[in-house]
Amino acid sequence: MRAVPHARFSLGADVGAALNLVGALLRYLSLAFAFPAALAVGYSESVWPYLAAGAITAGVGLALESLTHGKERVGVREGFLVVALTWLLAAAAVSLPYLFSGEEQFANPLNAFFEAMSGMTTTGSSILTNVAELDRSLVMWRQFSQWLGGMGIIVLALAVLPRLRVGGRQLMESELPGPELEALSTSIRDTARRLWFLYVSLTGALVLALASLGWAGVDERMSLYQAVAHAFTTMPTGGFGTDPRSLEPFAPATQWVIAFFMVLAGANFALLYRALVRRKPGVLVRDQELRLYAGILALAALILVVILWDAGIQEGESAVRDGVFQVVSIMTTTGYATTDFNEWLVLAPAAALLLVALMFPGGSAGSTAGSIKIVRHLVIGKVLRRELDQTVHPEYVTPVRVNRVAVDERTVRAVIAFVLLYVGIFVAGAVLLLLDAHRVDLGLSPFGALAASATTLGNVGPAFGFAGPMGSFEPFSNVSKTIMIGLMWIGRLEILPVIALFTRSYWRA
Amino acid sequence: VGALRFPRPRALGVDVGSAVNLVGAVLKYLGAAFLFPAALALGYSEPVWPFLAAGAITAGTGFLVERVTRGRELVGPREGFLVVALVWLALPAFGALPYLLADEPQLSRPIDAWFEAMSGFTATGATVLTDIEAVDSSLLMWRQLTQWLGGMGIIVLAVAILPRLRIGGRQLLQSELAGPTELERLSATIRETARRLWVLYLGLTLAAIVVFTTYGWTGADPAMNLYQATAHAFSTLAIGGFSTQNDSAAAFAPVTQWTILVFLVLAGINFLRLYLVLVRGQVRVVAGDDEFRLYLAFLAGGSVLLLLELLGGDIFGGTEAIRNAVFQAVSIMTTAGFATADYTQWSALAELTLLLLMFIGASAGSTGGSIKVIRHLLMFRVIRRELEQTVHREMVVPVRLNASVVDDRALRGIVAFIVLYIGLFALGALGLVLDARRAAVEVQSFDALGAAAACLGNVGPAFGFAGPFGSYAPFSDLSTAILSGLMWLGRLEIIPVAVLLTRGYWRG
Repeated sequence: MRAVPHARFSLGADVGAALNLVGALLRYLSLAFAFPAALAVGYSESVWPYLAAGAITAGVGLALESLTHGKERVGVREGFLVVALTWLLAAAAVSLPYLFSGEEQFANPLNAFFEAMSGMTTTGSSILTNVAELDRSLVMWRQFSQWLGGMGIIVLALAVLPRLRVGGRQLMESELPGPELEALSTSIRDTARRLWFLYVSLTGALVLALASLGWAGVDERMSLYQAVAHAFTTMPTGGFGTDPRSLEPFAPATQWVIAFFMVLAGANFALLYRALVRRKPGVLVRDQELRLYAGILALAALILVVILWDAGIQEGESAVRDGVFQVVSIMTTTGYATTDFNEWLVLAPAAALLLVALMFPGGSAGSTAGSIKIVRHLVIGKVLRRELDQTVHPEYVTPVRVNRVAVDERTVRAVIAFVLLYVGIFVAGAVLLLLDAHRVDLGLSPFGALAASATTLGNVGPAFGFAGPMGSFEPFSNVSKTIMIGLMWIGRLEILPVIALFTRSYWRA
Repeated sequence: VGALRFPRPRALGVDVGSAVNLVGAVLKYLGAAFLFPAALALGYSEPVWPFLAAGAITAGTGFLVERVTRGRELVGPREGFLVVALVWLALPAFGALPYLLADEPQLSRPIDAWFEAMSGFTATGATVLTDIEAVDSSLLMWRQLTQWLGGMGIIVLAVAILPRLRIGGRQLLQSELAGPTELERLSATIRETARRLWVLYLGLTLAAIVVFTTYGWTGADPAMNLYQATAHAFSTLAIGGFSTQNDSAAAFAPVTQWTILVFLVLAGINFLRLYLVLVRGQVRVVAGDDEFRLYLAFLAGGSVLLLLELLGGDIFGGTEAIRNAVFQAVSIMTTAGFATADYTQWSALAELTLLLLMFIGASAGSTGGSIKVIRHLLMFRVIRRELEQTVHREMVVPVRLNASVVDDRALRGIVAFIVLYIGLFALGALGLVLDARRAAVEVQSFDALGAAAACLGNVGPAFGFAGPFGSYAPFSDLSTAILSGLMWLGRLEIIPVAVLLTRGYWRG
C-alpha cells in the first residue's frame, strides 16, 4: 500500500484510482449478503457466516477507498485494472460464506474460491460432489452469486468493455465516445439501469413461469424456492443447480421453459430491450448476429436429435427435448443438463464432440453468455470472404460490414487477435491440465483435458469424464483448479483486459 | 448460382481452356515418370505392364487434353489457382493407376488406391496398407517416387522445364510452394528460381542415397542397400514418411535413424535460403533468419518435452529415450511421419504433445506441410502488437521480420490462412466422428482429431488404429475421401482452393 501514493510518478496506470473504484464496488457488494442471511433466519440455519462475510467485504471496501482517498479519477487505462481486480476480489468475497459455513466439501479453501469464481463468472463448474448436502441458504447464496455475476457482466459487456474497445459489442456501435471513462459514468449508469430492469423483469417472469408449473401440479418438485434458485442461474447463463443431477429430476415442461429462457439469455440484451420494452420486434429479425445465433442453435439441435435417435439413446419427445436442451445449454454457455451426456462419450462419440465444438460459438455479444460470441464469428467469416476476394482481385477494397455498418479495421484486427488468443489459451490450458494430471496420476484423458479447458475458458460449466454434468471438478489437483480459476477469469473478462495487464507497455508511463 | 451455369467463354473471368491445357502438358510429362518403376520391375522380374499401361494412359490423356484445348497455351495469374488445384487432383488420379492395374489386393478398391496416391504426391505418408512388405518392390518404389515428385512440387518442376511458363509461372510457383516466401531472393527470373530449387532438392537426395548406401556397404546398417537407400532418400527429402518396411524407420540401425533426422531437419529449412548457404556459402542467410531460429527452438523444445515425458513415464531410458524422443518429435513436427517406435503405446501426454507438434510444421519454402514456423512467428507478433494497441490506442507499430517491415496485406493473408486451417481441422474431425458413427467404425474423439490434423498437415500417421505402425484401412470410404480432401487442401495451403469457391473468381 505504501507504493500507492507514488504510483502516478512512476507508473503509467494509476493503481490508486483503480483500487478506489474497486473498493466502492466491494462496498456495494456487501449488501448482497443480506439476502442469504434473511433466508438463513427463515430456515433457522446459521446466520453469522453471511453477516461476517458482509462485514469483511464492507470493511475491505471501505479500507481500500479511504487508503486511496482523493483518487477518484479513473481513465481508460485504469479500466482494465478495475475490471480484472473486481472479478478477483468479488470472487474472494463470495467465497467467504463457503469457508465460514464449516461445510466439509469446502474444507479446502481453494475449493471455496473455485466455486465462488465459477459463480461470479457465471460458469457453473462445481467442485461439489453432492450439492444436496449443503444448507438451503448456502445453496441459494451459490445460485445468487451467479445472478450477481450476471448483473456485473451486463454492465461490463454493454457499458464498460465497449469503451475499452474490447468485447465485440463495440462492433455494433457506429460511434464511440471519447477516452474518459468517468465522463461517461452517467451514460454507463443509464445503460446499466435500463438493462438491469430488463434482466430483473426476465428473471421475475421466469420465477413466475416455473412457480406456476409447480402450483398447477405439472412439476411437483418445483417449489417457489426451486423456481427462484433456477431463475437466478438461467438468466445469467450460469448453470448451477440445486440437485446433483442438475435438471434431470424436473418435469419436461420445466426443462422446456428453461430452454426457452436460456435462448433469451444468450441474445443481445440491448436488442432485447429494444424489442421487448420499446416494442420494436422488427430489430430481432434484422440483426445479423441474432439470425446466425438462431441458425447455429437450430442446426446443432437438429444434428444432435438425429444422432441421439439414431444411436438409440433416446426416442420421441425425449430425444427432441434432450437434444435441444443440451445444445441450448452448452451453446449459451449455461451448463445445465437433463441427462448425463458424459455417457455419450461411449454411446455416441459424435454427440460428445459436437457438444465440445458448441462450447466455442457462445451467445451474442451483449448477453450474459461467455465464449467467443457469435458476432466475432460473423466478422471472421466476412474477413475470410474478403481475403479470398482480394487474393483474386488485389485492387478490390471494401470494408467489412455488420448490420450494414462498416466495421473499422482496427476493430477487425482486435477481433482476429481475440480469436487467436482464445484458441491459443484454450490449447495451453488443456496441455497444462494434462501435464498436471500426469504429475499427480489423475486419470484424465486428452479429450477430457480439452473439454475442461474449453468449458472453463468459455464459462460453460460441465466437461467430460469425472467432471461431466453429473460429476464434479473436485478430483482435480490444486494446481489444476488454480489453472481453471484463471481460465474462467480470463474468459469472462474477454481475455484482452487481463492479458494487457501482463504487458510492459501497460505499466509504462 | 450464377457461376455454375455454363456461360459463354466470354462471360467467364477465367480462361478454363488454358488452365486445362497446362494440366494436359503436365500429365504428358508425368507419363515419363512411370519408366523408373517399370525398369525396376524388369530387374526384379515383376509385372512391367501395369507401369507401361499407366504411363501410356497418363501421357495419352495429357496429349489428348492438350490437343483439344490447342491454341490456349498462355496462362495468366488468375488461371494459376485453377491449374494448381486441377493438377493436384489429376496427379493422384493417374498416380493410382499402377496400384489398380498391378492387382495388389490391399489397393484393389479405387478409393484406397486414390488415397494412397494422394498421400504419396502430397508427401503425407498416411497409408491404407496393412502389410507393406507384401507389396511388390517395384510398386513400393513407385509409392516412394510419388512422394519425391510431390515433395518439391510438380509445378515447380514444370516451371523449371517448360519454356511456355515464363509468363504466369510466378503465380503458379507461389501457389504451389509452401508458405509465404520471397521468390526474388534466389534469382531474377522465375524459371531460374524453380531450377535452382530442384537442383538443390536433387543434390540433397543424391547425398542421402550415398550416405545410406555407405552404411549398407560398411556394415553399419545391414538392413540398408541401394534399393532401401533410394526409397528412403525419396521420402525423407520430400518430408513424406512412406517406408518400404512395416516397422518404418524402426527397421533400420540407430545410425540410419540419426541420418534420416539430419536430412529431415535440412529439408525443413527454406530452400530459397538453403541454396544460398550450400551453394554460395552465405551461411548468414539461414543463421540470421528469424524463422530458422524459431524452427530450431521448436524442434529442441518438442524433443526435450517428449524426452521428459518418456523418462518420467519410464517408457524408455538412457540413449534409447533420447533417440526415440528426438526422432518422433522431429519426424512429426517437420510433418514427415517416420517412426522408430509405436508412440500410441506411450502416454496420453506424449500423444497430446505430438498432436500439437503436428500444427507447427517446417519452414516456408521447404518440402514440409502444416501451418509453418513463419506463420506462427508472425501471428505471435501480430497479437503482441494488438495487445500494445489495446492499451495505447494511438500507437502504430509495424510488424517486422528479419528487421524489415511486413506489410499488412501479407499479415492479413497469414491470419486468414490460420483461421481457415483451424476451421478445416475442426470440421474434418467432426466429419470423421460423425461418419464413423454412421459406418459403425470404432473411432475415439481424440483419434479423429489426430487423423484430421495428420492429413491436413501432411504428416501421415495419427493415433489409435491409424498410428505409426497401423493403417488407415479401417476408416469407411467416406472418411477416406474426407481425409484425401484434407491432404489436398493442406498441400495447396487451402487458399488457392478456397478462392475457386468464390463467385468473384469466376466473374469477368
